[in-house]
Amino acid sequence: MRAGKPLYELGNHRKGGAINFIPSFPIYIRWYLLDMVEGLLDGVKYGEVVLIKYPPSYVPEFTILHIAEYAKSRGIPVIIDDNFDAFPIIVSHLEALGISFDLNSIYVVKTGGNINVGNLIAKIKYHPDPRVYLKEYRETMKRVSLKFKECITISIGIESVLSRLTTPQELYLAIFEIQKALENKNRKSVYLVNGKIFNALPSIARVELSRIASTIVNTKPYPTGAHLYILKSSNPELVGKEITVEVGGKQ
Amino acid sequence: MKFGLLWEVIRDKKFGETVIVENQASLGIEALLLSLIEYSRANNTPLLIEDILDTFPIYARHLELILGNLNLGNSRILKIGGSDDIGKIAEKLKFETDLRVYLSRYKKAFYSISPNENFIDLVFGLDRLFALNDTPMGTSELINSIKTYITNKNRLAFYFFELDLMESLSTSPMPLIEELATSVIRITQDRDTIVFTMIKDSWALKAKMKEVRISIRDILGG
Repeated sequence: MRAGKPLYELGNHRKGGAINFIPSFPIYIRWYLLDMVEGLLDGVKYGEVVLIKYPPSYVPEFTILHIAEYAKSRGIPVIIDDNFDAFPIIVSHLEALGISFDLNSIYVVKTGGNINVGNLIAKIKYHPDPRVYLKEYRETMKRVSLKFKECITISIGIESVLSRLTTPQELYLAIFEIQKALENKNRKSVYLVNGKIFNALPSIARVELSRIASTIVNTKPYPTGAHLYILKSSNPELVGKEITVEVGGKQ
Repeated sequence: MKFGLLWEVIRDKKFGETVIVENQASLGIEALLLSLIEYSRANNTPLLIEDILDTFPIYARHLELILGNLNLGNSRILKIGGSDDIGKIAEKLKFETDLRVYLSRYKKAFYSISPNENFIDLVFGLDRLFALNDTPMGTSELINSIKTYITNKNRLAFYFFELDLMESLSTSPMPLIEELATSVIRITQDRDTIVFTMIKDSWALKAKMKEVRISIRDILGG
């Protein structure tokens, strides 16, 4: 099943450091969560838009790690849709946790920001008029879709894009771009947003993202694991279900 | 009996009525849309789907993902703006930012494609239109235009709204829209169950029931 070298390896993480709250950290991320993520991601269909909300935690870091690992085991390319330097921040958190991460295998489409990490395949310069960079974004994503047949995209920092848009007209320009992913049968699109930041977004953005998403997962970490609450899913069996991920479950 | 009492609620409606659907559930509109598509097929009633700014495709794409495919055989679509052409497009209008121009073009298109026999009309995306015209003038023009269509005697209309979006608007148009309706149905979610609450509804009066609850698995599952 999991042939080949893992994408990332645990280095000498600091004793007494930030990750001490997870007693069996390596097992936690290497096996148990991985199985969970595999199961969930297999259930996500091509053409879906997945919205994952999280409280302050390492949920985005681990989610990106596991999607990358999952995709590698399936031979599917991962593209990070990095808005305003959200990805370099995530990578630096992983480094602080002592996790080295094979960044060359991660493709990055960058909008705004200036710190380049990963395998940069396109860069969209921020422009004060959102019509300019949203048009460029649309054309870039079209090109990217043609280049890769099937792929998983992970969008991060989308709140920085949305919170800069002030009028309903501007917000809808961005919303229509996000909605386009539902037409693309070769792509699984994942959006990672901090729940509190999500709630503070302009209501048009909040309601429309929730409406467009075909899967919405609320994550609630606790000291030794995480609850995943599935609010919306393309699998009706899963809606309203809570899945608990225990730390070191597979010893 | 997959749709249970929900079909009873729909069957009770007469042509000429207007139903306002206020959604707050994660898959509420998808569930009601599927019930209406199947209902219209079972009863040989044509469906007209009015899709403003690609709003209908959101729900239709979700149903495609959930069911594997979606049969829109007995429906024709009037598309206003947007680019995701799903289903049989009978007529396509360019979106006009000038509301007056938009409304007059819409009127012409609506009468040219609406069926002569009784039909069910599903209207998607008015919430986006209200959000884009959230001024006292814009809101009252939109509401006035809805008024001119609801007296049509061979049309049973369902207007779909995301309630949280409508309630965030500064002009608060929802109570005004509710006033126009013969029926107001609110959809909420209780874990894995979709709850259809009749805020104002003739079926609810007769049946002495305020709500219909159906599990998401039953209504959308295989």
